[in-house]
Amino acid sequence: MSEKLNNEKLKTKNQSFFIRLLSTPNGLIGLTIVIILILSAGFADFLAPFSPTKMGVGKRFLPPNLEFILGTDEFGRDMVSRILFGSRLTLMIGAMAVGISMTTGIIVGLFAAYKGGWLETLLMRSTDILFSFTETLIALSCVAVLGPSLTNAVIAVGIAGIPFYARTCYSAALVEKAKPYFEASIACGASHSRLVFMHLLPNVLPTMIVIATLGVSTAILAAAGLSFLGLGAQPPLPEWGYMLAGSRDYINRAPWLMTIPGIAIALTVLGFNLLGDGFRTALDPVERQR
Amino acid sequence: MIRFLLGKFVMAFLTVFITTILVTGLIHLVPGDPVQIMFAQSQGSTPEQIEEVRRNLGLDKPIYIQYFMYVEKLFQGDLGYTIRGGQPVIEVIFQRLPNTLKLACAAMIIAISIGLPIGFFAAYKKGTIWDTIVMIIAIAGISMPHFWLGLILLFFFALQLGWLPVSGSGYMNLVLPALTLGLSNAAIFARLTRSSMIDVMQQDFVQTALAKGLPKGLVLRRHVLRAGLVPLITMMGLQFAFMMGGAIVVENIFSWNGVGRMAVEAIFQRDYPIIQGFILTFAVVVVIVSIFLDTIYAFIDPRIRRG
Amino acid sequence: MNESIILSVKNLNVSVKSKGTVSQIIHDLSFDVKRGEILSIVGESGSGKSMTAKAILRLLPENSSVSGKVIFENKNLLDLNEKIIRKIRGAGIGMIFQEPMTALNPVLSIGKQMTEALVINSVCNQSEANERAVEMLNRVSITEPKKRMKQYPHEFSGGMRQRMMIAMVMLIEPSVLIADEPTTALDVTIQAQILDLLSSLVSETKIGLVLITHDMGVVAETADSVLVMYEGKEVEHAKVNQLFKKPTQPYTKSLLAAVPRLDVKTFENGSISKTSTIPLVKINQVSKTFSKDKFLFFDSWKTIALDKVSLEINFGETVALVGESGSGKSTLGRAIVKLVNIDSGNIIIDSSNINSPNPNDLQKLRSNVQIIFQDPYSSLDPRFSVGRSIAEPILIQKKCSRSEAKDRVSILLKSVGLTDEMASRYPHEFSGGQRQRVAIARALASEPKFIVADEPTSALDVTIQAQILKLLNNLKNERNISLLFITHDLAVVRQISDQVAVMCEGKILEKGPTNCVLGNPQNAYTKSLLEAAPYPDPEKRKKLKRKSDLKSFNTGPLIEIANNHWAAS
Repeated sequence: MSEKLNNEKLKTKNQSFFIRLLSTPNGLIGLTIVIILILSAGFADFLAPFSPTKMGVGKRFLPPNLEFILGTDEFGRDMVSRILFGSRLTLMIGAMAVGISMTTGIIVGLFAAYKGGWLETLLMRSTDILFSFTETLIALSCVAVLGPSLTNAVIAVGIAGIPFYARTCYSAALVEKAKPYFEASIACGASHSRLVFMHLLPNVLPTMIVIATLGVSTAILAAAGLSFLGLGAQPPLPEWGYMLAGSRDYINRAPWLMTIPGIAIALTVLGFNLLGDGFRTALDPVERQR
Repeated sequence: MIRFLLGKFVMAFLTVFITTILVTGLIHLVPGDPVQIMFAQSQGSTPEQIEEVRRNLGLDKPIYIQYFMYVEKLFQGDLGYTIRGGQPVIEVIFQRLPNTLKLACAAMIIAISIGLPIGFFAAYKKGTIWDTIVMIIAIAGISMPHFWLGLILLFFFALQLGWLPVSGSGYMNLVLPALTLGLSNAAIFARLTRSSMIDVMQQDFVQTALAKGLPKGLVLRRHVLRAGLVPLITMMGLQFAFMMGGAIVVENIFSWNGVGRMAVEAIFQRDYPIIQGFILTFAVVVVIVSIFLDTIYAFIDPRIRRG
Repeated sequence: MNESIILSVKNLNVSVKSKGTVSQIIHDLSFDVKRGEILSIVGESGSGKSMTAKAILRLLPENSSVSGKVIFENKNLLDLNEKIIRKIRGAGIGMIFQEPMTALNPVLSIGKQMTEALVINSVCNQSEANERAVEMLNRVSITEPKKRMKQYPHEFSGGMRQRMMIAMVMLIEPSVLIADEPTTALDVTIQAQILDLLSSLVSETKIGLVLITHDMGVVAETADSVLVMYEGKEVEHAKVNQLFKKPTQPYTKSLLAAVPRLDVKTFENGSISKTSTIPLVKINQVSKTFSKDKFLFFDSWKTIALDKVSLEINFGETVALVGESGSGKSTLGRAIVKLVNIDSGNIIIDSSNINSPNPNDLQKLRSNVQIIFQDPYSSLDPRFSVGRSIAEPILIQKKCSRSEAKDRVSILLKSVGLTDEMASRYPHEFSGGQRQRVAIARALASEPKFIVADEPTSALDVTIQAQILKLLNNLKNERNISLLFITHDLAVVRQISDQVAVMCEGKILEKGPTNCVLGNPQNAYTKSLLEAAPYPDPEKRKKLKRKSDLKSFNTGPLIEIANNHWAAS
């Protein structure tokens, strides 16, 4: 039935990626939160009424009022400003930690998947072992070695995340490697770099982006946790985890000091989680929502 | 099955082995002179004392000798001495380890008993409003930092309502930290369970069972649950490890006298022997629990049990 | 109502709602199933045949709506509530599915799965259920049934699992059995056994069987009456003899015309221009073993994929490589293209050894030899536009400049029956058949002398398959390309090949000109394949009991029987 051939319609399911993203409730809410976050981080200088580190701009322990919308902390610093500048720190922490984890992880994962052989076994077994240490322990160890500071905390969280990204990238790369199109390229005489960079990497990237977005939330939580313990951000940085630690002694007297940074962290993490979920559905509409 | 378990044992052994290497190497990664740094925290130490510590830790010898020294001492149950008080590290750890384990186990029980049924329920009611509600709660739970949850619980139950004590070591004191850790992880468990169950529900054999005329409830209980639990067992191992990690923070909030609290103090004081001991202990505990769960898995999954 | 009719479907309509749009899947379908009769519902993918089965048992997904009547035991099944339907499922109407590998619960024992329906519905107690199960396993020719009861699905092959499924369903004693593509996932010899089993069950117990399939050969071999479906509608409904001899509808005619037949050859092969007496491809005593030594030697296994295989392919010739799953045919194809490294022996293409260390030789290989794969859905990089995929070999091998490549791509697209504006589109916008055409275009891009086609049409509907085969044949003749056509379908072999080689478990058991091998098979294995192959002509239905549990066939070194016809000794 040659008529059937000529009439076979080309399925045009070319809805733009963004439209798909925005049509999921998760994606929409997540994107909104993240955009708000980025804006407040970028324009903190303009939006913040006071300097985040200047003490005594208001009386100490002022509850939220008209002048200081989120109140003041134990040093009389304005909470609004601290939160706004804190968002900048948070974003930077998330981006850098995930940057370290993902770049290293992708390199390791791709290498292991492509080269195979003993290198693959070595790399993947090592990742397995590191994985069983849990990110918390690795991060803690790194800080123990390097000393408490925000930079070190970021590096620690970054290193701690490597096994996870390496493993995910490795699995995804193996799947692609097994597909016929990859073999077809080999049969055409494709060079190693072409195979890895033009075929493997682009097909692995969507999964990695989803993982990375979700990973930003994990990284932020981990760094905030370290700061909470005093092992990360040091005074007077307006890092939210550190602010939570400080609030502990004044829970009864100034409960807003504990509530506000916590909500900030929770909302940020929620935003990235939802965005990551949204990415996942948008990139592969066939996959059922989990 | 033997092969499977043997493979896991070997991995476990290797993990501990590598840990010992990393732990001995840790000191050398410290930028600067570790011994000086250790002593910078305490006052009034003479150069002789510093040298003695250096010799004790074997830092004046080449690395591989240090490693053998460490392992040798390990086999004798000697994990070194704390810089601060000169106590045997192993004593310090063993004093506090049970507390951490109690916390982790209690939290695990809470997490599983809340998370599993909720996840299962959400999977059963997939696509309905119940599913959405549960998922919203779960994702909120995951996004909430557990240290914040701890503070909130502390605020309400201990300070405001006075129902539970703020700190201490009794069983009443276990409630809040266990709840903190447990509730945060319950959310993760709920999501994992739901995913696993949904995966199973979409398998062909569920259709087969329904086509035989079995009631939906039975299909869920006998077919879906059984098949879905199997992969969850392995995930529980990972979750336990996370819980151990989370315990570190929670112990600090509630002044719970476990190894987590000890570790953080040690990091501040640059007390490397304790840090080393802590890392090793943590790794060993996680490995033991993993092996235990892997064994259970090997027995439950007929594909492994019968090869 | 006629006493012999046990199931009657009238005016069945099924529609599915997805993302706001409602699509009608089944339109106004009506048919009857008689006692002791096999009704075959046949159609290509998307015809709605599986949905029909599910609609009858009320197993459709929740977003579907159904109307019409399904009359069973004097009641309309579509009106009844869930509780009553549940009783009918299994006990009244039973169903077996396509994939035996996934249709059974991996964590429950066979015995448990077989008996649970009986016990739950209080038909009998556990011990009696066990006895009945053992009996039924015997009936379906499962050896050592008592032992099997305690075993688990993963311990059995696909064919055995399907038998167990049938036993499980028959145990509940339904009066109607619906089998949804029960043999599609099985090798052809196993398929023949399962179809035999089903036929004998029907004639013994006088149940009605609804056999859903896409394979006209299966229909011809098994069915009493046939219902042809297309896009959810009935196209034709007739007794099997009549349908095959005198089809009335154009779609039925085209469907029948597209089915490759073992006896009649429809393709013209261009006269093989013997440009040289040296074969283009010489495969010499090639062996390959796959092994997995997991680190520390746990969990290792070894499989012999190729065992001293020798084969020659001449210029401009099509050689078919035939075998069931696990025979090694795919491995050989991939070894030729150097996707798999052989352990011993050599392969010489156009006078150069594929394992030659000279990089120029490797380049020559990549240019001379191309491959087409089975799964059209993953044969193309989803991130590459179709044009880019086709251009890839040209650009890698630097055959011409980028702008010239564009022109070449256009020409190639046209030569496979597509248009050149499709070059900028992406694979997901195309159907399976179209994607396979793109894959063919890509294979032609480097102007190869030899193409390995690894089951290129097995995943396609039969009408599309016919088109693709024709296309391949024409292209091959035009450009004087040699083709190694790997398949499990002997009828396709007859259509397209000059020579054929039969493989089993890594060895070539018989090879030679297609006419000779298929017309006068020497090896018992070849004979069993020919016997088992379903034949799309009900009049020639084999009434012989195919009890050929093939225990032994020759596997020794090949000796020449007749002119170039070799068989294992």
